[in-house]
Formats: sequence, C-alpha cells, structure tokens
Amino acid sequence: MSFRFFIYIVSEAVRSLIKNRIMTIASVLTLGLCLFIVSMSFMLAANLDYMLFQMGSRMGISVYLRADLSEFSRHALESEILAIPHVTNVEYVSAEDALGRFRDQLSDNTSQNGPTVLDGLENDNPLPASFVLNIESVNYWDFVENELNKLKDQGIENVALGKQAANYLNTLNNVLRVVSLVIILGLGVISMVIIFNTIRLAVNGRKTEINIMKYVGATDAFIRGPFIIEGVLIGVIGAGIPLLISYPMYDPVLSLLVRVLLVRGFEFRSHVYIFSVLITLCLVLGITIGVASSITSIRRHLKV
Amino acid sequence: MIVAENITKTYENGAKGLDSVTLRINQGEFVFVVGSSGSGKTTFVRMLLKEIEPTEGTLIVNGENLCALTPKQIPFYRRRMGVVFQDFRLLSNKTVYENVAFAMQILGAPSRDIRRNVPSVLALVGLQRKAKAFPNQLSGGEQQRTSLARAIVNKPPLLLADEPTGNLDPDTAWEIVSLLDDINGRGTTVVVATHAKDIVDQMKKRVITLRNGVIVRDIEKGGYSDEL
Repeated sequence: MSFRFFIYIVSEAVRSLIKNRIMTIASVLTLGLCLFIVSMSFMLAANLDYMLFQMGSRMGISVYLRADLSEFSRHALESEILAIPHVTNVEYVSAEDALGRFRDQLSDNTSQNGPTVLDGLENDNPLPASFVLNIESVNYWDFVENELNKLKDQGIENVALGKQAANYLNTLNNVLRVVSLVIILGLGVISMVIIFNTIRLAVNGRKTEINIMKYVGATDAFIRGPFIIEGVLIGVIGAGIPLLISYPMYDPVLSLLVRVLLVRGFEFRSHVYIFSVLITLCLVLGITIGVASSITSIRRHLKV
Repeated sequence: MIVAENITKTYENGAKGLDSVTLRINQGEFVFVVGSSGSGKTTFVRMLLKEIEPTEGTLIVNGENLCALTPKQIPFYRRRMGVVFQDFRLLSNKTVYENVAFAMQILGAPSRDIRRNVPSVLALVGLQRKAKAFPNQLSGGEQQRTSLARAIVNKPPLLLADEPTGNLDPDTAWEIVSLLDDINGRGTTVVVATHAKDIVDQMKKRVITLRNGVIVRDIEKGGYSDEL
C-alpha cells in the first residue's frame, strides 16, 4: 500500500465519519455501551476468580499419619508428598502440636484461662500427627488426592480433604468463567448486530458512490479501504469510551465487591493487570466488530 | 479497438439481448449505436463495461479479450475507458474539481499531476469557474460536462457514452455532443448509444442500428432512420 493511498483512505474515512456523524455517534455509543458492560463484567469476574484462587490455595489438606510411623519414614513420606506436582507447601504437625493448637482454639472460643476438658489428655493424646498441605489451586484437588492415596501404605492413616468446600469453590469458579464468557460473547454478538446494521445503513446510503467508483476503475481494495478504516476508527473510539469511564471506577467497584461479598484479607487484581487485559480486549473486540461489519456490508455492493 | 465476433447474450429468462453480433470499431472512430428500447444497445454497452459477459462469441476491447478477464483485472480494464452516463453519476459529496480528480486518484496519480491536469480538463469542458461547486449546484448540462471531464481526464483511448443527452434540453445536448466531437478530434474513439434522432441525423457519423439484438444497419456517415 502506497503512502498516498493510505493518506487517501484515512482522509476519506474521516470525512465520511464526520459527514455521516449521526450514524457515527450511534455506532460509537452502541459499541461503547456494550464494551462498557463487558469491561465491568471482566473486572468483577477477574477479581472473583482471583479471590477463589486465593481461597483454594489457602485451604489445607490434612494427611493424618499412623501412630507407629518412625521419624525416618516420616521424613521419607514428607519428601514424597513434596514431590507431588502442584503441592506448594508441607507442614508437619506433631500430635503434641495438634493438641496444643486444639487447646488454643478452645481457649480462643471460651476466652477463659481456667482448666479445660483437654487437661487430662497430655499422657493419652488421641490426636494423630499429620502433614498439612497447601496446593496451587482447588483445580488440582482430585489429582493430589489420587497421588496421596498411592502413598497410603507408607504410613498415611487418613486424608482429610475438605472436598465439599473444594468442589463448591471449583464449581463457583467454573460458573463464574462461563457466565463472564457468555456475557462477553453475548454482548459482542449484540453489538456486532447493531453496528453491522448501522454501518450497513451508512454503506447503503453510499451505494451510488461505490457504483461510480467501480465504473471509474477503482479496485475493490481502493473502495473497501475507507470503509475498513471507518470500522477501525469506530472500533477504537468505541473501545476508548468504556476504558476512560471504567478506569476511575475500578476502585469503587472493588469496594462494592468487598461490601457485597463481606470478604476481607484478599488481594485484588492491580489496575495494570486489569487494564492491560481490558485495553487489548476492548480494542480487539471493537476493531473486529467495526471492521467485520464494514466488510460484510460493503461486499454485496462490490459485485458490479 | 473494439472487435465483436458473433457475440450473443441470452439472459436467464431466455430473452436475447444480442444475437450473433459481429462488428469492428477502429481507433479514432466516432460511432452512434442506435435502436429502440429493447434493441440491445444497453446490453452492448454493459458488455463493453464488462458488467455482463457474452453467452457466446468473442469481444475484444483495447486489445483485451473481455471473456478472459478475471474480476481483479476489470478495474484496470475500465481505467482505459472513459464512461459517461445519462444520469451523470457524480459523487454528490465532492466538488466538480474533486469528482474529476477522483478518477486520477484511483490510478494513484501524484498530487502534482492532479493539480495540473484537472484544471486543464475543466477548462476544456468550460467548467473552470465551477470547480468548487457541488453537483447539486449545477445545471444538467454542467453536470454532464463534469462527467465528461472525469471520463477524459486520464486520457483513455476509448470513450463510451450511454444516452449522454437523455436528460438534457436540445441546446445543452448539442453542447455535449460538440464536446464529444472535439474529444474524438483529439484521437479518442467515441461510442455513443443514443435515442437522439436529430443529433444522429446532423452529425453524419457512423451509425450502427440494432433491432431485437441484431445489427440491422451499419452505415458510414448515416442518419438515425435511413432506409434499411
């Protein structure tokens, strides 16, 4: 493409956008609104997903050990467990520690320093020693369980997975992903239909112009060029609007999320992370929708 | 310049637009193609524009076999041909100057050449003072002159005019035909499809008459309704 041709198609596109300004504004606002909803959905979904990820990695798996396990075997087992993929941490909790922790929990709950029901148990501790594992994500729960089961004959008494909670988190995670994908795809299709019709109206209004261009000897690329640039410009402006609006709204949305979900102690995705994804997402969606609508609308007018 | 050998066009409904037409138009000729509605004039013009293809036969224009042209070659074929339509077909959002310049932009002409050639062509058709006017600010004759300027600005070897005077009053029609004659005098082959009996009769140019898709008469320096 020569520089002259590029300048021509860009100036023609800008001129046409200004001339058909009502159509332009309608297209940009429609696209902007749809992408704004997409942006908001993404902000929420990305942070909920991140929170669920953090929850999953914080949940420990308790691996209870047989009472007759020697120290040597215990160290060997610990190494084996650590070697299981996706296990991030293994902590040994001796029977005494377990009792101590249980006692601490009880005293926390009762807020009393007096004698407790556990006082007589030092010499007859019913709690077993255990390993407490952390894993990367709840998604690996089943995998890690299978691997632990393979090690059962090496001194494992029982594995307490908290599997219901894990499954719940996993399901929530998957539902969230599907819902956000449906929202993004649905709004993408809706805006494509609206933009397509808007641009088609604009193209239909110019079919005589296209027809004349064909008779004067314009190539399809020459005719299509300005329309594609129009699509790109509508896409870029339509993508810019939600980004400009949603950037200052990010923190208030997070505060709302915290208030609604009553959650504390979680990290949220940074502005940089969210907006690097959103800028790409909005621009790709905006430009794709704009250009696809332009190309589809103009195609039938080129057959002269 | 134009060589047609047994060209036939049968439309999907079975109607014949042209039926075994054979003709030859040489470089530099001025030819009227006349005939009543449905005679095949429009079919012939549309074939020359490569808008439709003959069902049978061979049509060679400017050395190009139109039946062998690929869709990508069509724009380049059309650039070697100026076209004037009855309804002018000007771009309403462009000025007279821009409408003419547009035909050069399509060819990728440098701005310097556009700035030099467009005013001289506008002067040739007498529109130098209307360069900044938009089509809706022009009379029919002025619009057709703009269309003519656009058709010749790239100096095509062939100028095709489809009913160029159809929407014009007699005086203006004569202005246009005189311009076409001038252009022909500069070496451009001119083919005019028309109903304008008076003009054809007075110009005394070659006249090809079509009836029901068949050439029924082809006379050098003929009239519209010479004896068959």
